[in-house]
Amino acid sequence: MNNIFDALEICLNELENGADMETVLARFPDLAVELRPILVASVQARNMAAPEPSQDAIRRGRARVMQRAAEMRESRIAPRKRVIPALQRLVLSFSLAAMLLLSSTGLLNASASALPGESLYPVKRTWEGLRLLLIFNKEAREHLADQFENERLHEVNELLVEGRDEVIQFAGVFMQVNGKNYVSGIPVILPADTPLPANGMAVVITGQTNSQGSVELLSFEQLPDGSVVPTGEPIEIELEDESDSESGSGSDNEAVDPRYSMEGTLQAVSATSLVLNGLTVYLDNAEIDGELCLGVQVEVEGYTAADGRFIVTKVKTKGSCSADNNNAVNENSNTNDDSDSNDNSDDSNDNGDDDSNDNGDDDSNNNDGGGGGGGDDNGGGDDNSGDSGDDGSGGDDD
Amino acid sequence: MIIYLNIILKDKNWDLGINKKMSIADGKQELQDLRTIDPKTIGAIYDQYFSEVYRYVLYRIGDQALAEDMTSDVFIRLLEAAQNGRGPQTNLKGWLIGTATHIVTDHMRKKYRRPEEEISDSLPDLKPDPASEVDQREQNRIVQDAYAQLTPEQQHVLALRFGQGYSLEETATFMNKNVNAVKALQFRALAALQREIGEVNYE
Repeated sequence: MNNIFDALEICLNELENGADMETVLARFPDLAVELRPILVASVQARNMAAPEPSQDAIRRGRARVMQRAAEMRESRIAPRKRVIPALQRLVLSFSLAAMLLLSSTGLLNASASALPGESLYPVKRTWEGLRLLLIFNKEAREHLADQFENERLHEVNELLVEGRDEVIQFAGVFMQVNGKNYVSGIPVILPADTPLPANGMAVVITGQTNSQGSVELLSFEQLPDGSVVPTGEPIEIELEDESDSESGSGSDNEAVDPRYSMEGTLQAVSATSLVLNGLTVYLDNAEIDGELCLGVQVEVEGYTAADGRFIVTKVKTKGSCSADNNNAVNENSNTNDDSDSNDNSDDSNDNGDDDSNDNGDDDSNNNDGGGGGGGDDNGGGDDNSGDSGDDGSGGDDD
Repeated sequence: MIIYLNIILKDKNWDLGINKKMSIADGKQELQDLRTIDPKTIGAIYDQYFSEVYRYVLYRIGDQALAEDMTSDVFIRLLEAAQNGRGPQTNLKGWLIGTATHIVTDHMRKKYRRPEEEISDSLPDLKPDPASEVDQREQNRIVQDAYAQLTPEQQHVLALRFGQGYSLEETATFMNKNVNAVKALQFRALAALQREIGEVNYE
């Protein structure tokens, strides 16, 4: 039986080399009858051979394979992102969000103003990420994302104002003005060999804030045209080089930082300081317009001294004092000036009690009479005044 | 990469002995190259073997669009296998054809389980005219229908031997059988094909 298999193989090879079927069969006369149909079938099997694929087919298949390869490369580059399966991640974020909402809005509120490098900053960013994750309306999400981008810009500004040294990343519009580089209004120092982006190009900047009020570029990435990035608001940044270049007014008094003014209810008065809006300001040969007394609305003007104290150069009162308020202030200031701290605390306790009682009555009278007092708040104001009067005097003694 | 191209070149000469030695010595490096999913390596392998694999698949299933898809599936499986550390151990072409065979067999099994069309209504009572008078295309269709009736192994040997035009020795290697077994197998496969087509008087 082996014979016929071998014979077939010989015939097949000869046919393939172009021999005629009859000639081939003639070599195996005994087997010819059996072999003939087999050889015919072999010819038909050969005729069935598929044509070469078309160029289109090759291209299509190639594109498919290469795309799959690219996907595999990508998924291999970032396999860690998928450590937590999608569903678990969703559940996790929901429960985290719920926990944060229910238990610690205080933490979130506290983190809202956190800056890069601070311990609460990760909380802030995580919360932002959660909020984006939990919004399913596309427009609203984009709006929120824009808001967060603006927040990044704001944070950088804050860091620059405080002169802190942190690594930051933010998106903005690149501009070159007078040979200086800015991204959405933030001065950026580029290393010498960095290729400049075009003016108006949307970029993502990674850099380090420095104490000179600018960002030292570590790297940047150009965003595709049409990317929405915060353009930055006209934020006043008190920068040395800027104030120098802009006008002479900023450099009038170098030791003095920007001037400010504010309004508030006077909470405490001493010979050298005032407390309003919970903030202690120091009098420096202040020009006082009107009568100072607790509870009165005042407008102060001044500047921030090099040591961080707020120095007041001008005080203007709005409205008038009641007689009792005036006395209270005087008593307070007198006792504070005269006595030791131990005595002071006793006195102030006494005073506090007396004052609040008296004031309560007086104030209500005043209110009935149509006076401009602040009502019950004044009582609180008095208590405060006793305390902060002490503080003030302590400061004086030192 | 270089070693891979080497192997591709060696494949052309089809010196299996050398190939095997090479692969055993450098198998790890070879896999490593493919595992990086380097576009150049993938492109080179694809260009080298697509046509060959495609023709095998098309011979087996007779549907061009399907053959295209299944052939690219073969190369995608190669990528996945390489990434998972499996992949061709001895020779690349053998692996590709072997994988194509698996994919085709899977397809056939599914098709058999859920037949979409009548398979052979024209076959049993068909008495073809002398071959010369029958339209070649019609004849091919008849042969294809007959071919579809064969066992997977018979289809496989015919596809390799007559579709691809591989030698007896090559075919034996792909089928992982000895030469004598393939001789017998091809004889039976042709006999079965001829039986399915029907008696053709050739004279």
